[in-house]
Amino acid sequence: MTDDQALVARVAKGDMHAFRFLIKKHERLVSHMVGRLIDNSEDREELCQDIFMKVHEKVGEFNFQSKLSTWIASIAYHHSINHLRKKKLPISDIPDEERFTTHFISEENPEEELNDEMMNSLIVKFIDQLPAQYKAVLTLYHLEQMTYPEIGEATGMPEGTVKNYLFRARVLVKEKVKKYLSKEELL
Amino acid sequence: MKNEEDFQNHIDKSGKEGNDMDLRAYQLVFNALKKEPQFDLSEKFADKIILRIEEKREASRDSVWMLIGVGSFIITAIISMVLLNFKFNFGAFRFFAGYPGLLLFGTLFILGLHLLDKKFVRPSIRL
Repeated sequence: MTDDQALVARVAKGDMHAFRFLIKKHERLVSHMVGRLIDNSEDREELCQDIFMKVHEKVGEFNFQSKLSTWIASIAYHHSINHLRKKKLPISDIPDEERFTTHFISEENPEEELNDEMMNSLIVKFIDQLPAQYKAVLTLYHLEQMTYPEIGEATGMPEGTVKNYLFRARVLVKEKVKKYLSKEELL
Repeated sequence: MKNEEDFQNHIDKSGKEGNDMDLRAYQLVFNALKKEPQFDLSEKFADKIILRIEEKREASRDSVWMLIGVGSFIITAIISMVLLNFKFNFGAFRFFAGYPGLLLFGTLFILGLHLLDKKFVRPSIRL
């Protein structure tokens, strides 16, 4: 029996110390997902609590078809998307690629030279403007080091879509950053 | 490197920056993507969840006892009415017999208030 299997078995039996350990072990994963997908800081912590409540409620049904972290990421992703839906934020469809790309890249005009820290904050701002599905895939890949199949399991997307979203999201942000770099070179 | 995929793979695998503008831009993007979102959970995060679970369990236990109580009351009342040949034909019962709509409205109103309290009031005062 692996550590995760033993942990899940204990949580399913109602061991709250084990559940506390599970929370500690996976709270960063959940906070990364929620922190990236949800803008409203007041909603974030409550949403993270709801996600772990769901984990506790469903842990008895977890059958180790995937890693425990992937299963928790899946709950976090779907819960966040449902939250955005309830708030009527546009997340159900990825916008039309060509129109969205033009809009996304030309939205702001670089007017000042930026230092590294400012540039970094700016890039994070650009990432925050991406559709939720793109942000989820970027977070799971870059922060959680999940593989494409694992991201597919967590989000319910086919592996090809995961690769595509990851690629397109990076291109979009890169193009926007490039505009700032071009400006820097001209100065 | 000819296309965007090559640029991304180059940065993703080697982590090396190049002179090319695209490579520089990608490097900055990849660095930013490694940064955690600025959101920290409170220190008592796990305690709050465990408290909510315990409250939920308690509420569930209360509901079971409530159901047992109401069920027992109804059964006892029916048995008593049958044994005593009880009829609703005196005092307030006689008054309500003329206004079945009012009785129904009153019951639904109280149930509605209870539902509102459970759905909106209690969650908003949760710590």
